[in-house]
Amino acid sequence: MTEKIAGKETAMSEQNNPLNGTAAETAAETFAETFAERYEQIRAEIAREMIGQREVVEHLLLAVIAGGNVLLEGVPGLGKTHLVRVLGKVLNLPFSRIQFTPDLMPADITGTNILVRTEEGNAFRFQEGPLFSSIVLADEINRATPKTQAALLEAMQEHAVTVAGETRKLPEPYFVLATQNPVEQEGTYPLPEAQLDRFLFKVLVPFPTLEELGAIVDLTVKDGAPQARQVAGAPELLGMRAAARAVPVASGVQEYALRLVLATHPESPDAPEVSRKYLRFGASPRAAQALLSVSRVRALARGRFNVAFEDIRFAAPACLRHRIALNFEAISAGRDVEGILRELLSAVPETRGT
Amino acid sequence: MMKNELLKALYPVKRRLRRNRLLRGAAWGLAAGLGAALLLRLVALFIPLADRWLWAVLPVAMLTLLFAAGNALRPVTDRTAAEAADRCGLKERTITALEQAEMADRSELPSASEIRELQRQDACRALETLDVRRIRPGSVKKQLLAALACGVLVIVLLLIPNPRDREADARLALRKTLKEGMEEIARAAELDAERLNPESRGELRRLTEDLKRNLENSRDETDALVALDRAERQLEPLQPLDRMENRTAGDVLAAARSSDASKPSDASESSSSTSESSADAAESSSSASESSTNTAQSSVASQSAAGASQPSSASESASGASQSSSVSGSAAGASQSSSAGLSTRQALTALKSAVTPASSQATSPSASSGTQGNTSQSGNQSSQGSPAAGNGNGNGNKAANGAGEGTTNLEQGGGNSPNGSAQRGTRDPNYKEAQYETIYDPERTETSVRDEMTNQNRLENGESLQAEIGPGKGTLGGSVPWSEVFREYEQTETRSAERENLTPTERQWVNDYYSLLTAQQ
Repeated sequence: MTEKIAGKETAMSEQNNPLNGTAAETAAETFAETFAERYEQIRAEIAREMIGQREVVEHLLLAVIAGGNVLLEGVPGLGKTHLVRVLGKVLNLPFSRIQFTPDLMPADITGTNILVRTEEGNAFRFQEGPLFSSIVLADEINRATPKTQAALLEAMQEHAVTVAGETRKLPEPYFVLATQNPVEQEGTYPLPEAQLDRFLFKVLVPFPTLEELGAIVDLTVKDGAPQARQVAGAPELLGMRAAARAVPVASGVQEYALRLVLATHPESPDAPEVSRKYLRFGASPRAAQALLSVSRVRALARGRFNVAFEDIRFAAPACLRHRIALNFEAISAGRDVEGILRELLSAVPETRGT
Repeated sequence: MMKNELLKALYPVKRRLRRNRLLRGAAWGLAAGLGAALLLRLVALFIPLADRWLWAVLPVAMLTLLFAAGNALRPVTDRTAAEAADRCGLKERTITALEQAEMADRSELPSASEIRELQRQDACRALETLDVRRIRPGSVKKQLLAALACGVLVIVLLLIPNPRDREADARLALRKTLKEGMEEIARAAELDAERLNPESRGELRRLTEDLKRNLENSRDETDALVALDRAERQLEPLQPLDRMENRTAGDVLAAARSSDASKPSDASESSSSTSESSADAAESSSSASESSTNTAQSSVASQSAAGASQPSSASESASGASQSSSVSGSAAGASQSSSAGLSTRQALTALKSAVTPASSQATSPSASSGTQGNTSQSGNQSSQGSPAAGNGNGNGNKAANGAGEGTTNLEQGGGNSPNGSAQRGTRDPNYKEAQYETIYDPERTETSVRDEMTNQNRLENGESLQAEIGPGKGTLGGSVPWSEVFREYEQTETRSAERENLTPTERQWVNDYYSLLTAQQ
């Protein structure tokens, strides 16, 4: 019975993933030429409801198209949850929100087998948790216990959930958008490095400027505010993702991305001085994958069919800031990750003439 | 196919890159050339370097051309061109397309992809719209600044008087003189070879080759004179065939003449007949004067001195110290006049006489003016400097300077032609040293009289009164022992050396010369 259910779930997952194999290649060719146009359309629609935060929206879109998870960090009230909700609306994707608390259990998010009464008698049936959605908003993820946080790992990386020995695929496209509050740290459980590494981006949500704040106030306190419309769906998103995967990268550009990741390792022989002095450990190979996949998406979004150095430089801070750890000397010297990343970017030269 | 289109689009970029490389290379070459020129000028402060303007211009021209050509001819690879294009805002379009095309050529890509094709088209489009003038040659400001600094320094160093440059000029003149003289010697040797037996001919050839090599290796006039003296000594045993055949008759005649050698009138006749250089008339007189090699040299020298007695030819001889005409002229004259002796020897003597003034001209500014005092110097050197190899140069200098300062030109010329040549021409070689012990100084002997002597007194009212006070002395000359005038010469030379623009080394030479003479005395 369990197997039957599992098989059914798997079939569902395949149905939910409309672009596989040759279909994806065809989609890539179809979407490559119109990628920039579609991308701009989605971004403009989100901007109807999201005032300001242009860079945050762009990072979020890049990550969603690249198929990665995003950790949004910002003080409460900056519209993080609203942003994710608007994204779901524009992309017409199922959206679920989990408010993480210390007493939240893994089964609460993954789902569990429950006993149901049928005509044939009592039977176990899997009750899907909130993870079974295309867009999952994990609000204040650092308030949940490590056990619950760990339950997210498989979903984020494998796009699958295993409950009672059965693995169930999650619908595609699938991505987790987690938020955390950087100021209120009491009673929180900082995310372990393994989990942080599974986030493609860590995006810092800045406080809006005076003009943006005025526009937000104007937009939200009166009736008839513009509403975002659906402009794309799962097939378009997956097609755009497939198109991005096919974008070629020059060897020099790829090497630059790899050198950048290696430069975050203080023990690396090519590590710059700032890395050796202030970093405890560096980014994982996932960082290099993230850099290149996001750069591909950005290249297409900019109307190019190849990755440029500037794409790598754009993606690097968001890709690396949660994957490196400062040592005691950096903390005592008052250095922050952003400053060190800026120095790293200027220390690693663009690889030309190889 | 894909790659060809891309490479075609890259062609203007490559052309631009080649041009930029040419400019950069030229800038580098200019800086390097001017640096090299500056280095050469600095070296020339310590080491004489001839043709200073040539050495200032040549490295600049050569290195600029070399660097520019080398840079321009260096092949521009497709990759370099693609990267240069990408640096102009193409955002790695070209290099990506190029790499993809290369991978497709190597069959490293599984199949044709629309995205790759789109990328290639995008790259070609971007290349077509690229303004290649945006591809800059890179900053050459540093190179140009360095070139400017070096250039200014080179010009300053060229304009600042440098004693080493004068020294180099003198060397150049000497080398030219030696070359032309050597050519004369070679010509004379060819003439002489016909008159020598095979052994002597071979010896003469070897001798001239050695001399040529030695002269080419000689660094200054001293080296050249040493080489010439050595050649002269080696030439002594060589006798022409015709002379050997007539040896008995010549010896007899020489013996007969030697008994009358003490008579100045005969000697004068003999010498004058030689110096007239009539081919027929010379036979008898030359046989007398050729009783020894030194006698032959003296006759040649006296001919030269006789020529110097005329003011016009004297100045020619003086100016000819650095000109080839005087060397070849005197050598040719020597070969014509002495039909019985070896022309090679006479050419050697002529070259020796030409070499010494070349050096004195270079070291003393007054020497280059071609004054008549230098004319007498030339005459004395040719007559006195040749017999002794080691002392010839020193004695020649001494006589030249002494005559220049102590006698008038007319006195010098007159003295050399009738009496001096008679004495030297007939003197036995055994008395060679005695020859040095007498100095021609007619005023000191008080045996001559002045043609006219006037006295000029300035009166108190500003007028002057000039009156003849009687006949003077000086047209007739005589020789005095050199020990009498040595001190005066020494003082004069020392004063002269201090006055002239001489280097400490050259001044030391003058002092050493007189110190050695004092020691000998």
